[in-house]
This record gives sequence, C-alpha cells and structure tokens, in this order.
Amino acid sequence: MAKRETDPLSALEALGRATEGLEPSDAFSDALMASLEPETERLARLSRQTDGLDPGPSFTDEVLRRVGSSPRENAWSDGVVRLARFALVGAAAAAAVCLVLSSQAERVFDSAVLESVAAVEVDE
Amino acid sequence: MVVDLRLVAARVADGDASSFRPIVDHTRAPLYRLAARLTGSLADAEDVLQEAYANAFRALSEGRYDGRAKLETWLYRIVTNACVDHLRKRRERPAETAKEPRFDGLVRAEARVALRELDVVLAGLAPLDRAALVLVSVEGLSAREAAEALGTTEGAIEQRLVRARAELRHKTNEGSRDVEAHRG
Repeated sequence: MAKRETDPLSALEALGRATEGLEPSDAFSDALMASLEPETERLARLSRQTDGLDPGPSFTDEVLRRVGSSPRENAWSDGVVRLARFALVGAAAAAAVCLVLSSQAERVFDSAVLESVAAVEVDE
Repeated sequence: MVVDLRLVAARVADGDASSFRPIVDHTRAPLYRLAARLTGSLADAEDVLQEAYANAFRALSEGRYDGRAKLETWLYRIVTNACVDHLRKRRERPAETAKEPRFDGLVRAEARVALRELDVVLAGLAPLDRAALVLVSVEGLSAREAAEALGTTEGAIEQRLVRARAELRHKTNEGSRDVEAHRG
C-alpha cells in the first residue's frame, strides 16, 4: 500500500485522473473567438444571425389593445365638447324665453297695479 | 401586396384607429429587430417598441406626422430614439433581474444566442456610440442615414463610430491577454 503511493508512475496516474475534469469557462471560448474574429466580421455575423427576429402577430394585437384606449378617451372628451355646444345653445334659448316671459309678467303686473290703483281712485 | 402607408396614416389621422393595424403589421419585424439589436434584450425590445408605437399612434391621431419622410423612416427614428433613451435609463439604473420576453415564440435559438453575444460585445459603450455602431455595422445604414435616424450630423456619427470601434478593439485586446494568461 505504502509502496504504491510512493510509486512515481502511480502518483502521476492519480494526478492525471484528478485533473481530468479541468475545463475552461465559456468566457475563455468567447475571448478566444473574439481574438480570432475581426470586430467588423463579428458584427456582420451577429447581424445575419439576428435577421429573422419577429415578435409575431400576437404582438400586433397587444399594441392595438394598448393604443385602443387612446381613441376611446378622445371620443369621450369629444362627446363632452359636443354636448357642451348643445348645452350652450339650449341655455341661450332658455335665457331668451325667460326674458320674454319676465317682460310679459312685468307688463301683466304693471297693468294689474294700474287697474287696482284706478279702482281705488274710483272708490274714493 | 404593396401597402401605401402614407394613405393608411392619413386614415388614422382622420380618426380611424383600426387603420393602425396594417402599419404595425408591416413595420413590426424590422422595428423589433432594430430595438432588439439596440437594447440587446428581447424583453426590453418589446417594452420599448410598444411604447414607441403608442407614441406614434398619438402623434398620427393628433396630425403630427407631416408626411415629408416615409412612414417607415419616421417610425424607425422614433424607435431608435426610444431605444437610446432606454439605454440611458438602464445605464443610470441597471435592472436587478432580467425580464422575460412575452412575444418571442417565433425567435430561433440561434438568434437568441447571437443577441446575447451582441449585448456582451456592446456592453460598456455609451448609448449614442452603441446606437451609431448598431445602425451602421449591424443594421447596414450609411453614416448619413444613421445621422438622420439619430437627429445628428454625419460627422458626429463618424466620431462616435471611431470611438466605439476603439473601445471594442480595447475589449478584444484585453480578452486576448486573458487567453494568453490561461495558456501561460
């Protein structure tokens, strides 16, 4: 047992087995590839490899769902503006009618007062 | 089928919100690709692109698209600037956890890996330097077209490209030194 441990060949074999799992990280491969590939060629390759990117039709649906709220808000505010115009015209018409009614009422009141004054004068 | 997007945009300006669908359908893929390349993330690309489309819809509805540039060019500019703003915000406040994309069903595994690699390559660049490099070296625009997209001059784009490429070379040299150290 002790003899096998001190045997230089066995020790080397053991060290070989112990270092079998050594492996550089991905960063090593990246750095190696980057050092071999010129920067312009690397960017051109990455451009080709990312050429087919497409989010698909569901992305369009999501965008339309999102922007769909904007016209609804506009329509609501547009409706308020439209109603306000009608309300303004209605208020002006109502004011004119009120003016006519109040002047009529005033005339009726005045004539009633005159009639009652005349009646008092006749009594006296 | 060729769709005249300026006519479609005019319908949106007249209040026909449903006409926005052909615009999104027609421009979705190239603008998603642009946003993904600029931000280096599918999830960020989705968020930025949705926001950009919402802004574009509002601008169209309010008659702020004058029709001088092609609609595609106008949208390209909106998305580019939205991505640059996003990169600036991300630089100031980095996200603690990476978000998952929701609309990546059609994206191939190779494209995902390439996008991650692109983000690693471009990491550390200033947002406008990164945008200039992506527009010219990845999107294939001329310096003049990239300047139009970013609202700057051709000279400014050339300067940004020189700076971005020098930064990439510096990173690559550092990587080579790491490889040498591994070998040593």
